[in-house]
Amino acid sequence: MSPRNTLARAGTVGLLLFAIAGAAAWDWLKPHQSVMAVMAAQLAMAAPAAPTQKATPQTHTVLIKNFEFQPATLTVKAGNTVLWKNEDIVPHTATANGKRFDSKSIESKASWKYVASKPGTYPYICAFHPTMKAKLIVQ
Amino acid sequence: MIHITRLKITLFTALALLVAAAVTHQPRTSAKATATADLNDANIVAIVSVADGLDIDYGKIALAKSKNKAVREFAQRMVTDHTAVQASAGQLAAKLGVKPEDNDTSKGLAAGGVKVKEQLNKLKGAAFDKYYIDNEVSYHELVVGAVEKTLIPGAQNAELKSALEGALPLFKKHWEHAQQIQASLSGKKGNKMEMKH
Repeated sequence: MSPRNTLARAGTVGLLLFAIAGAAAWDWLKPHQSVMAVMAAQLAMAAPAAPTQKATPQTHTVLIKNFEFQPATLTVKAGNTVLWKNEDIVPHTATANGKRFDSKSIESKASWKYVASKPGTYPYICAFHPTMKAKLIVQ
Repeated sequence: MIHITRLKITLFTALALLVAAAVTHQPRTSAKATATADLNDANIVAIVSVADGLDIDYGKIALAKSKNKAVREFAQRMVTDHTAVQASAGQLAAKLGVKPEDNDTSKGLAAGGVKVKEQLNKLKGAAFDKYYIDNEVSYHELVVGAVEKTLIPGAQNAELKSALEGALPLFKKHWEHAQQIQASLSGKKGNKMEMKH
């Protein structure tokens, strides 16, 4: 047998195997096809609901606890609200460099809300304890 | 300048008692074979109260005397924060029924504090600012060490222990803040760099 023939035979066998596997997969999928159709329909229905989600922007919380901002880096979408909650027994602030936002004093157990409207990266500190550092990223 | 150095040594000695007490006095009962001092919870409450009270006193003197904005803001923070710690420690002690009990460490601290206050009352201008901030750096450093190595391991009551653990970040951040101002007073701009973009 010439090497050319061997190659052709191997190719035929390979194709055959592929076809069998393909058919098996199709058979396996059959019972699930109705479920998939329902899922696809649900996805299509969900799409028009998206605008209402945009209308109610998300609120993200930063805990001020044990002299730390938690999380230290928070990423939000423009229009989202960020809530700083002070759980320490002393007052803190959330003050961005150049005062692009500034909570002023947030008393113990109090909180402060900020609507992050402008995209950018905002490093901020506690003006009272300037070695407390964190970052807000608005996308 | 020599007597200032001597005062600092006195203060250091007084504060070092906090740490030394843990090392030199082993507990009488072998059951608790940790390196904690003979300090009971009532002693610990007294030490915290004296240490806190002193820092409030130093801060009030700085607010009355200093004209440096950073020093004044720091002093105000010390008064505000340590007053909050005092209040919360007092509430906890009352809740636990612990009455502060003076001991060698708290007495040593108070004696060291008297000398520091004398010095603060005497000095003026930049010399005052430098002495106040230098003292705040070394004071907080030693308090952090004492709370970490002596008071937390020594506290018997779980609530007192966790309150001390909760107060530790406060002392650490004050220490860092004091170091930041110390660097700016000595002309090194230090941490101001990080405020830029």
